[in-house]
Amino acid sequence: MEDARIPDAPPEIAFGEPVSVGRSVFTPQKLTIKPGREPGERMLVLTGLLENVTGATQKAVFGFPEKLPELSSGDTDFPTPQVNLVRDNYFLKQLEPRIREAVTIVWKIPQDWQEQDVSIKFSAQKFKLNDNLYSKASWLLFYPTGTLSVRPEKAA
Amino acid sequence: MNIFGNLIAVLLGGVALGAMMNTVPDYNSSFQPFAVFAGKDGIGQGRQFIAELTALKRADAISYTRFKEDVSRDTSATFLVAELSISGRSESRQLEAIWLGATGRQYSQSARLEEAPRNLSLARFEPGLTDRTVAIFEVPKDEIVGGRLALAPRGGMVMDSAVHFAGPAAMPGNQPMLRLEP
Amino acid sequence: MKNLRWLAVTAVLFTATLCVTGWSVLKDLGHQREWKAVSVSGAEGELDGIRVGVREARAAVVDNKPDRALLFVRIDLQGLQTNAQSWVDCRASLRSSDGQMWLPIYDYSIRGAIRILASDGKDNGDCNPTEVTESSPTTFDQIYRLPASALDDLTLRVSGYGTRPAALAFPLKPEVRRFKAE
Repeated sequence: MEDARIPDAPPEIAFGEPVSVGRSVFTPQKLTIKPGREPGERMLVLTGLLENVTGATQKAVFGFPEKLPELSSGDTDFPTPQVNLVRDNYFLKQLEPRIREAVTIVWKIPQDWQEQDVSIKFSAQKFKLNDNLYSKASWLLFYPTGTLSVRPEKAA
Repeated sequence: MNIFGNLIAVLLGGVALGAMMNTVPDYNSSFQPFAVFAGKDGIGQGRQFIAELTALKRADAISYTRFKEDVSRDTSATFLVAELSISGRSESRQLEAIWLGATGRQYSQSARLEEAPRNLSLARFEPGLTDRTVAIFEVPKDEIVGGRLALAPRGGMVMDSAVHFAGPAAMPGNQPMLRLEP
Repeated sequence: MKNLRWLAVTAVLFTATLCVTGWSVLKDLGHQREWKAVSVSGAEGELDGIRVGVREARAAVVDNKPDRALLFVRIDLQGLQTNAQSWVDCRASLRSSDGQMWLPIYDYSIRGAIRILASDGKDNGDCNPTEVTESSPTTFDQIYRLPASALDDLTLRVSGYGTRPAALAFPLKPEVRRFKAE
């Protein structure tokens, strides 16, 4: 019984495999290190496709309150990433249902980080059509949906 | 006889209870505005505004000028542009538009074009004044025919009315580049 | 007899529930509406310890769109800070005789017209009770967009969340200036 209570560890995912982030599904494609805008600055850029799987336009693509993919590597703390819409080269404001968009998730790399394997944790909010309080449609607690462990490529 | 009568009363009660439980409006449906349908002339009257749908256009890309700079936006689906003429009724109000697609999905106005001239998301409508405005959506092509446009006051929509306009009978002609002028 | 007593208790409890819930809803609504507007004959009035004065009212009509006008209204507020806090917010709205209501415009591009219409060419910002002091009147500028035909018969209503449903109603006779389109 105790075993049954412990949720399974989130599955390892690879590039090209879709992972749920709640209101949308993300398919990671590539992880690269790119130089930032300022000299000496480096960025970790995760490229992928994002598709809204709900029936309405979503502003909270990564849940509300927003929970962006978590990146961990060694002992370094990474700041929260920014999600950009590749088409506009601007941050993603909303996502329409049935329209898959190419996005980049960009982390600024702290100075003390050495090139090594990284793991990125994705999580999704649980959806309930009729919640226990008002019997209304709600997005509730986050749960882990997948982990991507890779070594980032160097941009050419 | 008495037992038979009691049995019928209990059965009827059960049926009545079942009917009530199945028809009671839930939270998701009771917090919706009342739907008012526009007439054949394309004019719809909400509680707070009167709106006329003057044209529906489809475009692959949209361009406009902002602060003397040209902005152009493309899409991986198609742009649907609803041209409207709206006047306020009792008080100054901002509105929002939703495209209810043929598959039932709801498309909000594209936030990527919020700053386009005359965009509905920045406009406010005053009693006694009629203003032209555009609502721009990004939708897959097959959501257009059979879909409809809903227009409602922004913010609290409970106990208020949303005006619904029937979508086009045939697919609007496509423009490779639609220029929006102020 | 016993049944009748139960019915009476139910009726009493039902009315009590109705009153309790209805009262809070009615109070909430009262904070939005201005049911108790007090007409002020001159240009100054007092509401909940705050003196309100109407200083300027000037309308602009541009000749290529003669049906609509921009109306600039300058008011000032003076009183104790505690009284100003009890106002919570400040709403200066325009009413026509048939109940239409125009709210001030906050759009930055339209606010530019205040500098053209004000006698001293300054924009003192939106009405905000937190800036009100006892020593000297604090000036605020509002701008409205409305039909030119409504200019002849306007009332300016000033109230705060804490004062509503009470409000001050000033008769407004704006001076109209006509501008030529560029």
